[in-house]
Amino acid sequence: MSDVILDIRHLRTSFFQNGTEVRAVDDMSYQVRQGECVAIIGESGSGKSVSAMSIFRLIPYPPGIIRGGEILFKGHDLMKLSYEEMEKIRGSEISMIFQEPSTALNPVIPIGKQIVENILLHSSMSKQEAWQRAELLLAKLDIPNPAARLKEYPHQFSGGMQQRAMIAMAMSCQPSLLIADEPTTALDVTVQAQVLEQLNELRQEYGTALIIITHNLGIVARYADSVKIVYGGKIVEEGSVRDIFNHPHHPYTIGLINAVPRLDLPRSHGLRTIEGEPPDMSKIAPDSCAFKQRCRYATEECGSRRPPLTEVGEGHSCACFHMNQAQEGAKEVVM
Amino acid sequence: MLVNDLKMHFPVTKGLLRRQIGSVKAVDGVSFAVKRGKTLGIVGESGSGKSTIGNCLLSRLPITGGDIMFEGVNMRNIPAGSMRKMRKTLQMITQDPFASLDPRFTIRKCISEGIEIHNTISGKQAIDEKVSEMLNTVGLRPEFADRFPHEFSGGQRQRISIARALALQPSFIVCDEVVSALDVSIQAQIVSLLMKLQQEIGLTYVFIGHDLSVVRFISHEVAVMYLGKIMEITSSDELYDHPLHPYTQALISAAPIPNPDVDRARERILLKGEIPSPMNPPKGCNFCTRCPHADNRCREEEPVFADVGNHHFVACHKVTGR
Amino acid sequence: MGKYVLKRVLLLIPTIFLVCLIVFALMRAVPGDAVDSIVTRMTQSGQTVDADAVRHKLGLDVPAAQQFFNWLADAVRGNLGDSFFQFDTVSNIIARQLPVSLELGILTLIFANLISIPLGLFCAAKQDSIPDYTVRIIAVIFMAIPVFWLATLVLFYPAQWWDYSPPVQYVSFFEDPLTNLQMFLIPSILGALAQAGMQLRIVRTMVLDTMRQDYIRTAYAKGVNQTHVMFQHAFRNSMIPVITVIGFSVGALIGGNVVLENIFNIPGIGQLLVTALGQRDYPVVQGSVLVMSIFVMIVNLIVDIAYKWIDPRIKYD
Repeated sequence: MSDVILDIRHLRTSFFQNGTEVRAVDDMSYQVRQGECVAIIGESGSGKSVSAMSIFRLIPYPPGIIRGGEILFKGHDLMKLSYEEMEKIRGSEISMIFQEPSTALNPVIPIGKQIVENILLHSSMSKQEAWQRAELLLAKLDIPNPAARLKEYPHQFSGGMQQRAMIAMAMSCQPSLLIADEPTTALDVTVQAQVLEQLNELRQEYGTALIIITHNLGIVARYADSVKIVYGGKIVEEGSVRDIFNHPHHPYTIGLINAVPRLDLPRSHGLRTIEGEPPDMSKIAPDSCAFKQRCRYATEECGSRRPPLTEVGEGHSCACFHMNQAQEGAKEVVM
Repeated sequence: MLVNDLKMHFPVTKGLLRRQIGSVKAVDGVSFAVKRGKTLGIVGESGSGKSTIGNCLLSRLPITGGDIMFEGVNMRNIPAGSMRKMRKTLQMITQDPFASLDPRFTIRKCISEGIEIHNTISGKQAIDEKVSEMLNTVGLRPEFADRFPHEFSGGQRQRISIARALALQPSFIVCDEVVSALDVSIQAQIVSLLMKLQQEIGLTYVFIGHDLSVVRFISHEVAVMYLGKIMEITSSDELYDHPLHPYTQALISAAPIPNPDVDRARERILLKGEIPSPMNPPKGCNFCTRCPHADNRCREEEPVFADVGNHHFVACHKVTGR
Repeated sequence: MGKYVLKRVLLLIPTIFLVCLIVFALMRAVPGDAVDSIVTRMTQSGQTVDADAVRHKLGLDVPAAQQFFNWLADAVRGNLGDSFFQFDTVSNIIARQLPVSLELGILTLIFANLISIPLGLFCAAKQDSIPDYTVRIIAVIFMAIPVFWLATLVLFYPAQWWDYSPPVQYVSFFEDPLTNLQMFLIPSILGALAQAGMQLRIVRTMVLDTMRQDYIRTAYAKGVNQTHVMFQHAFRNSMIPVITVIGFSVGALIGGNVVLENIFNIPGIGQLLVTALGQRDYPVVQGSVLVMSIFVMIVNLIVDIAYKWIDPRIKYD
């Protein structure tokens, strides 16, 4: 397929904690197509953020290290690039937005200078042109009086505006891929809706593919084209957004969807909870299903062998030995 | 509990002489009622004053104006002695259980401290039994009693703080953003636990949060707050089916529904601008700067908080005015 | 901002008044006074003196409170009085000796920063490597070695090996810069070493701390290279606490180089103060403490203004 811009193959990233290896990302493979929005869903410590930082090769070493795998971006393996070549890609071809805009912007540098820095690094624009471009981007993101605001410092911006400035910075070179790690978790609900909408519009205008890392299923349902469910450093289910929400196969996916209260359904609809705690990544046995401890359908087989990701429909795969049972169980809940 | 025209203003001072130059009207004339054994949800964004209300209800802050009646007693003029008793019946659980549990105390000490202060049970053995019972109630193993808070995950710590509150056998609990910091699957566990406890013990809750779906799910009635004022109060189902206030409508629209078919078919209202500072709220209706329907009257005259029937209260000229 | 500076300058007045009062009170509380000291000395040299006459001449025969206000009233008019022992006015003595200390202090500060900031950055960049450990161990050694011992070695060995010793007679920089620098270079470097050891550790810690911040990750994510990240994104942020330390040490450098001034025979204000204290030369002690405290407070004000310049989040009103 020619429109695949990012092809991650068997990525493995580990962290070393007190001498033991914690496999934060354990043999993860997925693809991102041009202009597509891919959502990576997982709970804290599931390895969802680490997988994205690995694409960027921004894993702090030590204690983190990319153990293996290929990250093919537009056909080139990012893992094989030199440090300088990687710097050319960061911020121009691939860029990133982080969760906390208040700490992600440098407090002692004016907003405009921070945006312009990104533009000047990756283009032949003059300083003046770069400032004009930064102004245009802020205006596109509905920040009133952009020329004056560019000269202000991050603490003079509200949370929503700081995140918009981050978006402006990340999108300033019209990247092919944008990675957004929980981009709106820190924002108020109505501001979150504005910011996401603006981000989505800008990204569609530039044809930028988006990897959005989140635990908010609502945002996923609203914007994603395809979804990867991550648990214990592995993808346990992947498919189109409609497949995942309408025909979930993995017990974890089913549990997650049922654990979120639905605003559009009467209260009597109820919640189904997943028992137990998210796994301690350092304690998952390598040849066991990570979800085993919390799964209602777990059998001995789940503890002896790791379920492989198997296709259950076109572009829809699930890693579970008991997915048929789980689906039957899921129907009972909905009825 | 009845709350009438509650006001909490924080003074803003300046300079060496602490000259007062204004005040933050964190809560400005709020009235509502909480029925015994039910849950009132308070939903709002930052600066809405929702957490301040929680602290006022428990008399943790000296209120500026208005009355709080709890079981027929006005909390403003009760003597200090009865206040201590009252504190036992009114408990609070907060967002960050890590900050509210002393890291040097064992779980047993965290839970039994309140019992010892209020002298509800005496005798070491009786207290230990109570601690075990409480841990059982919140779904933790009694053996955990001798561990320290840092050995637990966020969800477990939240369970511990629930156990600590329950140990004093309160009848009224304020839950302030109790699930915001937790993972999705753990949020559901805590919400279910709180609902189960309500059914079993008949607790009354005020559940404060910013996530409309969660607040609505646990509450019987929901109050929507914006800049220190309640914009709308109604039953939870009515809130989604017939939201009347434009802010409520925007809030509902902003909260995405975790189903692509349903969410993408919805009409979306996007608000412009930012929430004004509570130090300097707009004239007229607090929401007029961002409201898509605002007209001159909204910018001049503050709307009255009125009943539109069916226990549905709204503060909006557009709804009540004609 | 202007208002803030004005407020701070006005605040200097009560502070300085208190400093003077405390110094005055402490001086009188010490047993033995200037009169005793003069009488003893003159009697030893065979002269007969009347203690009461001396007391009257020095203005010490009035109650202490009156002495203080007399002195204060003169001081406000710029007259710090005459020394009891040197035949000169206090103002003249300070004017002669303060610049000497200032030169030593400023040189020490320059060397301390020239050593500590680049090395601190170097250690942070090479965190936990052998060069990092080596530099840090050397830093601790210099912090631990008493400066007088080091100074003695530095004077002794060159003298023994090459018959070199630094000039002992003070010459002003403007008269003979070369001799002057020969005199000051060694003591200021020695003074700077201990200071640099401490500053280096702070610079290193702060830079490392800053490098862990989210905005540094953002800078890397933009494709900024490591050197640029360090100098343009991390440096300014990590300098904020370093400035505080520099501010603190300035005060100490002006008044605290007594040891070095003595060893290298530099006629600075530290030496002056020690001598005057021993002799109970009240006007000199009071005058130099007054001048030094004004100086320290002005330096603190400059540090606070520097904060504002480095960190836009700080607001003064």
